[in-house]
Amino acid sequence: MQDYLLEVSNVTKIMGKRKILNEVSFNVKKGSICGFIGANGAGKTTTIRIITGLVTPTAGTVRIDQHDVHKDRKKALQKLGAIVETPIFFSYMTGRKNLLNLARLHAHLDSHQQKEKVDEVLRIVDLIDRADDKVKTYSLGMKQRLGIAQALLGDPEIIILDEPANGLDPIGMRELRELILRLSREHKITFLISSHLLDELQKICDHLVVIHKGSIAWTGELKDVMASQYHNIEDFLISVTR
Amino acid sequence: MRLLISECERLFSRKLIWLLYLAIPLSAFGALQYHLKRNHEVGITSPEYSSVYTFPVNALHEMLPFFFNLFLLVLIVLSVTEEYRGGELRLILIRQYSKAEVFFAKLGAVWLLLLAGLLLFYLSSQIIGWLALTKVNAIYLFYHQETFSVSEVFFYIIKFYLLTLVTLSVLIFVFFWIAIISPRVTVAMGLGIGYLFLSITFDIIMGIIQTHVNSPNLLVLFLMNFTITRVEFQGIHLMLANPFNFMFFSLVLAVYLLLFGMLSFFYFTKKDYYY
Repeated sequence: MQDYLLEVSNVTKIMGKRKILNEVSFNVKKGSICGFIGANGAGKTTTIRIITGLVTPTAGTVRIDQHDVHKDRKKALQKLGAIVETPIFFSYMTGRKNLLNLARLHAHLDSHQQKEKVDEVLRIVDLIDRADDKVKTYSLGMKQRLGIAQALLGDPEIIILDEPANGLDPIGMRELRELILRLSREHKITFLISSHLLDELQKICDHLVVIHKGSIAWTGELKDVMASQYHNIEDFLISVTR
Repeated sequence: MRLLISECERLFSRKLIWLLYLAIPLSAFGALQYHLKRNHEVGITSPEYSSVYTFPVNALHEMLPFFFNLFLLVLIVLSVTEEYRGGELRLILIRQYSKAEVFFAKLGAVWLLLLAGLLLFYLSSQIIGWLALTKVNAIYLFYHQETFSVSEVFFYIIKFYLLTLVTLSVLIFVFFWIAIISPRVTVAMGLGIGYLFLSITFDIIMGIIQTHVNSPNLLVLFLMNFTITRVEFQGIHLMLANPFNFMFFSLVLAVYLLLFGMLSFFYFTKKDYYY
């Protein structure tokens, strides 16, 4: 049990008469990079919104490092950083001011530490040179990196990325991939990454969760997928969701 | 406290907020232009006559229903609708704060900026009044037969500004609810202005009805005094005139506070966030 940083147990979400999620259960091991895949409308973003506390489940629990997100929110979300869907910022502020404003919200950082932390995360995502430009002048790739920077402010143990490579050019995608691998390797951060770009996921993930029509279709290690008759995530996804 | 500072910092990072603050002394100057003309039309014994001493009250009475209501609406729309519907709010909600804490931080930030706006208006109108208006020996106030001394008027001004702050604080909840149910900033502004317009129109219609009925109609009297704009136009002066009025208009404000406070709180904290 202690090996799991994120535990999603029997999560159901009903909206009106529609069941969006049906007893979704999966775990993410500490230190792993877990891909979260499924077709459009399968329930990925709703699951991520429930994990991040934005949406309340109709039934079931989400625990981060043993703390229930919906009952023990403060302790659970302390360990979490996230980008949910497109990275949105306060566009009228600079990248640095956005981060300083958000760093204020982390109780363990005093004002001096907030400034140091902002510089640190800006260096990690390689945005220090553009930190004092308004966010509205940033490219999508830069916004994605700033999104990761804001996720890193609270020294999270797990980062959740929802479609992080959407709209990125090949260079942007490569930079993002290298950043995730570096954070996993050097900072021991666990990742849950939802993406349609299966080739990209195949390059970085060690675990996989497949969701289909609101239910978990498969969970396991990437090496099992690669050892199967399909040898790649795309064919495997089609086979388990058929 | 960290949430509150963060909210204030974001609001003060916007040029529009600074332009609104810049407009406050200008609005006091605008009120002066009106009252200089009005002073020629009314006698020195009229409460409408603006002297050095009464100008901060008369100017605020003039600017409250239009300038300060819109000032408040813009503050709330920027703080609530734009961040809630634009998705920026999730940057805050994914951190270790409850939705209730974020709700009260937003209210607190808007209230502090409103307080600063009222203080700035008081200082501006006091300075402008000293520079442009005359001193009088006897001071007349609305709904009072007796004259007032300078020190009594000073306390009247403090009470008037405090009641204005209370009235606008209640209006915050009405605008908060409008801001949170509106899908876009433009819709929120339109609904907010529409609410003010309808409220003022309702006051006028009820006033016309009241003048055309032969005997005093308690229901009409009750209804015509049951809008926040009526409290702003007349209610604050009436509240300072006698205890019954104070109780009545306090009750009116309490009803708005409870109704829109609960609607806003439950909408903000109980609804799932999909933006």
